[in-house]
Amino acid sequence: MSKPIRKRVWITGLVVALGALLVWIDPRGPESVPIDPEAQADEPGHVLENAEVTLFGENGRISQSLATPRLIHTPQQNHTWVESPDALLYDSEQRQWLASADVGTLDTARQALTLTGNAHLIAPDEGWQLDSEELHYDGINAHAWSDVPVLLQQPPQTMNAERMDVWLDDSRVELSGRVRGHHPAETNRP
Amino acid sequence: MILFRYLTREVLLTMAAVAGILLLVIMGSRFIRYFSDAAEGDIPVTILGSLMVFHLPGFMELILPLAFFLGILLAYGQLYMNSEITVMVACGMSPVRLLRVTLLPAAIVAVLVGLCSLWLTPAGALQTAATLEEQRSRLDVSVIAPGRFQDFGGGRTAYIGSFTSDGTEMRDVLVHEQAQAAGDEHVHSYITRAASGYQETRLDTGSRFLILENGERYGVTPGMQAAERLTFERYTMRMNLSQDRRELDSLEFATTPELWQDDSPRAQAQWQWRAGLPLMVFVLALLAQPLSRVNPRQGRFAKLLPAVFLYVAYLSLLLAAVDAVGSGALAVAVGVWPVHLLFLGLGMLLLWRSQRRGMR
Amino acid sequence: MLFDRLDRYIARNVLGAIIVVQCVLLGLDITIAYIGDLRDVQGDYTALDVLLYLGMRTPWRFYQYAPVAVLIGALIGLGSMASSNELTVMRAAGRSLARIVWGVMKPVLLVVVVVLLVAEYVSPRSEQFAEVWRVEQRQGENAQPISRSGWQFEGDSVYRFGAIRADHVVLDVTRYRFDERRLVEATHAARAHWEGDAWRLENVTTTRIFDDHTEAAFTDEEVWPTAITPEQLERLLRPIESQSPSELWAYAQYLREQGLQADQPLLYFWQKVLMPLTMASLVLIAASFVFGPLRTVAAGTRVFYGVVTGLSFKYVQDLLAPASTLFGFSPVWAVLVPTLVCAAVGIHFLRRNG
Repeated sequence: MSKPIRKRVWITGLVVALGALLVWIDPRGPESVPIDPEAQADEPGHVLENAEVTLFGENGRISQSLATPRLIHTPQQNHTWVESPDALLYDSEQRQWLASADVGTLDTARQALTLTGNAHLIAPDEGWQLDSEELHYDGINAHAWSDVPVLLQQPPQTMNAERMDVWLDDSRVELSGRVRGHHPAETNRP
Repeated sequence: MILFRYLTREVLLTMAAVAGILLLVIMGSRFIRYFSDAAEGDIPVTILGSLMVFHLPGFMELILPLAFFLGILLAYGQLYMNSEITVMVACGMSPVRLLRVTLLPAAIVAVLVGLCSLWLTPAGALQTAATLEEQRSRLDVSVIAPGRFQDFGGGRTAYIGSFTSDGTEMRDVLVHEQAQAAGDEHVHSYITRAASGYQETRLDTGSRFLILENGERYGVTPGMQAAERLTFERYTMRMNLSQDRRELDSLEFATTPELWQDDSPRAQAQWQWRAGLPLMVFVLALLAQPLSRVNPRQGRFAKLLPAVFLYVAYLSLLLAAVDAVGSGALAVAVGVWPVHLLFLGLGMLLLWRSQRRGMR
Repeated sequence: MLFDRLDRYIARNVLGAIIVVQCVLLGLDITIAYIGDLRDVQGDYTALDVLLYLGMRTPWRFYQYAPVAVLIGALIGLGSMASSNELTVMRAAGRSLARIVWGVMKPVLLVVVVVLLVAEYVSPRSEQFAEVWRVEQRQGENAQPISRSGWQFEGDSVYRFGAIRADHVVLDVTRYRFDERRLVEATHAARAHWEGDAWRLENVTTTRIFDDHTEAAFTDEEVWPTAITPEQLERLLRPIESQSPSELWAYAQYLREQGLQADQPLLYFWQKVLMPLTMASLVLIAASFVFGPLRTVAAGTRVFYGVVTGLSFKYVQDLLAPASTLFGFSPVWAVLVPTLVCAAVGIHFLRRNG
């Protein structure tokens, strides 16, 4: 009785082993390059060159448009980085405010734009301009602010402050923190 | 004691045979299904083999208890048929002592099942997901037939109008993506259309890139005015998906020690499921013995059908309990154990009945 | 006598075993699939829905496991008779080996005919219904990208369809209309009804994108001007292997008329139509193991060898058929040749062992 029993065990073992072996020795793919996870983690998901982003608001009107030679979006950190962005910010009357800087980051879901590195904000047809190292803009309620030293140029006068807030819809500017103005004499007004 | 060795060998051999057949059937049908997917180009043939090996522990974890259950039924059924049991009873073998004999094979199988469920299956599942994900990032776009929509996995679909004569560049490429940003339950869909495109691989990260030129990408949900338009000169898109990290840390892949520390209901439920399987083997052994009593006229396959229904009922109750604990309907402390106790009780009852009536 | 007492006894044994094995396989496979599918439980698509969905797909699983169940069932039936020496009694009573094997074949062919009826009338409908039911269940919150959606280009528009119901109602239709590469309009309709000669869309939401603004609109109903026919969508959205033989044949003819290659539908068609023959050949091979001098080996072992050989022949057949179409065999031969080879080997073994 023992000979056939051993045979039966041998057969079952053979079948399972054959199955596993057959399955394992399948043609191995091309020698897989060792992947280093850090490079993969911050590898950008989407890189766009000479791109133009247009965001339409809830009311269907354009709320922001931004041209940039290079845009990098990394989905893992949900982070969009743009290089020397030239942005057009539309207020409630569809007037176009110009904003530019060396570098910026954009969150399309919350329509939030952050510009850093000699950022400028130019008001439409009122002839004043704000310069700062950092400028934040919230597209949903058209409010721009900066909490680093800022320079307001309204030729011929200029003003400095620690902090500034701008509401585009009623083009109201609020400067706060050691505001210093410089008003050249009346005479040399152009 | 000879009887002990004889019974154990008989049970284990039948179990091995049944497990072998069940494995061959289940693995075979899964292999055919994967093979037809591979033929359609969904998954490349090269990873078919490793996929099956990673799935093996997942199958074993379920097949072994059933095979052991059927093994006892068939082996003892055979003994009843040859009326060897009556001989044993004549020599003073009581059901309880027979049960003590079956405990050894039960322990062996329980260790095997425990090995699978506590360690191998999660590791296997993780490997499967990683292989599929890694394979997806290596998907060679040029392998796709032009004029056909191809699913890239992870909600991304691509369509290539045509190839240039040398086959390196694509004309009129369309890509549709469905992405779910972390923490936002709404699914955004993006559609990109470009005049031409080609693909590249970055060696250090091994990811494959699709580079599209002169095109536009729209993020729009029909019916909503908020939208996003993006025109570009060149767009380099990474093929595998961003949230591959998020997919990989679901509970199914967590190792058992991690589950043990994490005390969220879902993790505890998963842990109780994995720990429950080896326990189930012992309960099944207890159940199988009284059930295996069969009179020679019926043949030893008579009790097979009720036994299988019992097994499936046991498993589905267990799954329902795991789901209940996971969703918080059942307290974690109570957890899955009542199901095991219920069937243990049933086994005890059957054993007591056969003990009283003396295994005729 | 076609069906005498002994035949009835053999048939009862074999049928009993086939049913038992089919239940074991179905129970196990559904449990494994249930555990696997628990992953896509989300929102109000609960674990119970997963179970319901699997329940609906049982006819298709029944069809897939039937050949294996028949093979193992027939063998176990024979094996159990052999182990209680009933086979030897029958042969002693003057019943030839061929009559016994023919006795086993009758229930096998009966079961296979039942399986064919399921393949023709039940499983294609149940598969379609299950798929549509799942799309409807999960359409509530489209948090989960639908895995099996069908895409179609037409003119300057790209369409995406969720699923199609038996009454030609298409679910979850999305259309992107382009002007060159600029997206002009994105539309979504929950359902599209085929009204004899034209489509009618239901609860349609649209967003039109212009250079400087976007417009959104919602209409209850809208006519859908398109040349796409329900048959085209049926073929686009329904998996090919679960379609019924008649549909496969119609699809093959349609492809031939278009001058396209019709190998794939034809292959599935012949695999389904020739199933009685393939099953008979497998049982022949496996049965040859059970007969033969019983003194040397216990019946259980023979059953085991028979099952393993039968299964390996079956999987060789399943893998050989698609592979052979690659080498230009016509699908008929791709299915027929392995079957005839199996039958020949079976008969040879039977005569040798008998």
